[in-house]
Amino acid sequence: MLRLALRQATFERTRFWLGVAGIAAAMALIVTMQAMFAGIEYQLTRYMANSGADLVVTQQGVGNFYLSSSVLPNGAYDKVTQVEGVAEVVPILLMPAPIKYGSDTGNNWVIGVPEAAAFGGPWSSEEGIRFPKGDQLIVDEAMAKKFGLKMGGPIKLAAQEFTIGGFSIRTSRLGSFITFGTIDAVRNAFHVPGRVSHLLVRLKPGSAATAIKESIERADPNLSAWTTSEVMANDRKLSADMGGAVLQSMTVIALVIGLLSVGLTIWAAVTERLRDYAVTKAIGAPPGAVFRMVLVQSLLIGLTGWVLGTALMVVLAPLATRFSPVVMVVEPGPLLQDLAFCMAITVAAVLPPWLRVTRADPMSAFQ
Amino acid sequence: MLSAVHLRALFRQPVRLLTGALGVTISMLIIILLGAISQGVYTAAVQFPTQTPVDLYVAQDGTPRLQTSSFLPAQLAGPIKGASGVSEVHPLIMNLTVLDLQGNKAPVYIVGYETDSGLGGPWKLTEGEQVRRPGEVVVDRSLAKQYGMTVGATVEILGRRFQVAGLSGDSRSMLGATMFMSLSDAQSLMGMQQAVNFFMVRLQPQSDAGAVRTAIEASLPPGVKVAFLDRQTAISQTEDLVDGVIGAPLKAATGVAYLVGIVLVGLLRYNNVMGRLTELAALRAVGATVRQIILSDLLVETGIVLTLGLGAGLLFGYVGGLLIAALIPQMQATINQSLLLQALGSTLFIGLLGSIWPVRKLRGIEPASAFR
Repeated sequence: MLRLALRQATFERTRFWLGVAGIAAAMALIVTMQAMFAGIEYQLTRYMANSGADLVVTQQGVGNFYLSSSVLPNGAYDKVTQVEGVAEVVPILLMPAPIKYGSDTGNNWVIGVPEAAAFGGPWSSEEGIRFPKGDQLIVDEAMAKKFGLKMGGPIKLAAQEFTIGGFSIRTSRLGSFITFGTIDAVRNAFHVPGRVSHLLVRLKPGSAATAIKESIERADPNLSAWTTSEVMANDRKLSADMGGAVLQSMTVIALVIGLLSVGLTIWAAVTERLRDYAVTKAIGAPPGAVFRMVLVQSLLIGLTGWVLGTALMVVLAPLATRFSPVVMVVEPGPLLQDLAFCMAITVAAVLPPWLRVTRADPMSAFQ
Repeated sequence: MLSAVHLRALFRQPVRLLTGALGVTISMLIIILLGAISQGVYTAAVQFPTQTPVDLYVAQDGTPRLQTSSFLPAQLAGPIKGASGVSEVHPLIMNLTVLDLQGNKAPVYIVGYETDSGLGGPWKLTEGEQVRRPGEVVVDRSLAKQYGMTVGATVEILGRRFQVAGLSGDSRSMLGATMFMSLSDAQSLMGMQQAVNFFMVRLQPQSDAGAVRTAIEASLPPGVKVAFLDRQTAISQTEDLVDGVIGAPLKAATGVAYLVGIVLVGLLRYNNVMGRLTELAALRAVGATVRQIILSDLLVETGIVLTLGLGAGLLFGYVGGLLIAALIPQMQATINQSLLLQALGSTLFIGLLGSIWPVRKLRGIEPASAFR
């Protein structure tokens, strides 16, 4: 019966591939939306994920990295350094600083890090210095391309002239870029001497993060300590309240409508073959066997469509990320979830036409 | 001419007709809904400059848009008012901040305006009253709903308590929800007692905007430089900001949805007609020409399927847009008319193509084979 089912499914190749193409198109839409949403989350948390820190210390109550203002009280660095279990502390200064180039303005965040810092700077460089130095800034290579910035060329930050010392890669985030400078240079540019917005903390091996967070907050009640995962989760939540909610909703809508398309395609494919199934039943096949045949054929169309739609996006997503401003991250979890949904909707779509076959008069198959 | 034979053939399988129409509906839904959400993001973001009747915004030198930091001394209001061609000058505080509301972080625009003139205040009051005095706040309706704020309730904003005087509509975008309050309250919350973010300027009738800018620049104290944003620039710069932040994924989503929707219509129509090929061959065998089959059968069938599908798609798309806006407070859904017209045109074209393409096969079918 399985062989018959497979042979019948692929007998009319055009129709088989039409069904597959319909499902592949719907799956491509679903995977595109999921990959773009994952891409936004990935961009948003990239600095934190690559900062090399275990904990982040902020002004009391500030649990986000972006879109929040954190100013640490004087002496915070010394107090945190002395907490038991803390191995290394890097003070940074994060400032929103749009970059103006000609008539164009780029959304940009500048992160000031000490020259000799062991971590907290760019995690991946393309050209030039790897860590900011003197009045040299490290700018994102995508921003450099967009604004035509050249290595060693001038760049204006908060009305102060700097030199481009290096290009970092993958340091853009959701329509804006990250520029790295030394903390002293950034303080000077913004006229905020001594200001620190966050402390990045590395723990000694075997130290318990929760206990050290409490110790830091006890050492200075004006501080809050967070694990980098907590800050990333808070940033994701804030992003969901902003543009993220839009894409998340679009992803859900694409999933629902995409699955409806899958269901309809399968339903149409089975309906077009009703006569074949009726003939199979009329020549003596039991209802269970006919159902298995219908199911196998539909699952074959559904599975092939899922494989093709998914494979297309697995190939296209890195290309889109490389050659367009859209960052797409294809994750295995959502793909498997899509497969489960696709198979479930396939089974559901098979049932109504199959019921028509079971109720049909065998003689009608030959009329 | 549509003969009885064609009509009977057409309606012999109503399920097939319905499946075709449903496919078109689903395709239109994908295109309309994702397009409407995408357009709604832009519409919501430009509400403030669109709804506030201001001719010119005066900002700190180098400020490209209303959503960027701008600091001006409050006392510049006098010289600006004195410039030739200026009719009214009103200070404005507009600052994006992240509020801690019931343990959740919420991005909020604090807008401070002169409550006696009302310029810069809420443009759509859905409940309660405008801000009349310091200590009162008008909160965006969706934010209020999200955090259970009601008219008359007290709400804590950056450590200060305010009474909710009213709720405003259409005042939330992906950039944040808006809270309107008196200028003095906003200045105090933002630590800007002697400063403002912008001056909103209204010109005298028939004034030349360029000449007024020059007059304002000339009226400023020596060394003070400002930037100007006219209303249209304020709107387009806001759109650019949204474009920079989320434009690329929105455009990609809308484009892919459009493409997939159109492809699905074509595939379903093709599949539908392929399923009827034997039937159409029989029509041909009893004397119908391919031209007659196309004109009297396929075009009529395609017309019915597309009319039903497009109609239902438009209806469900419109209802879906309203539902989304009601259920998800951060979102607006605005039907993008040009996208809609494009989608209608493309669906008609692809639908017709998908219906007529399989007819090529009819030419090769031996009439007698239709009865085997």
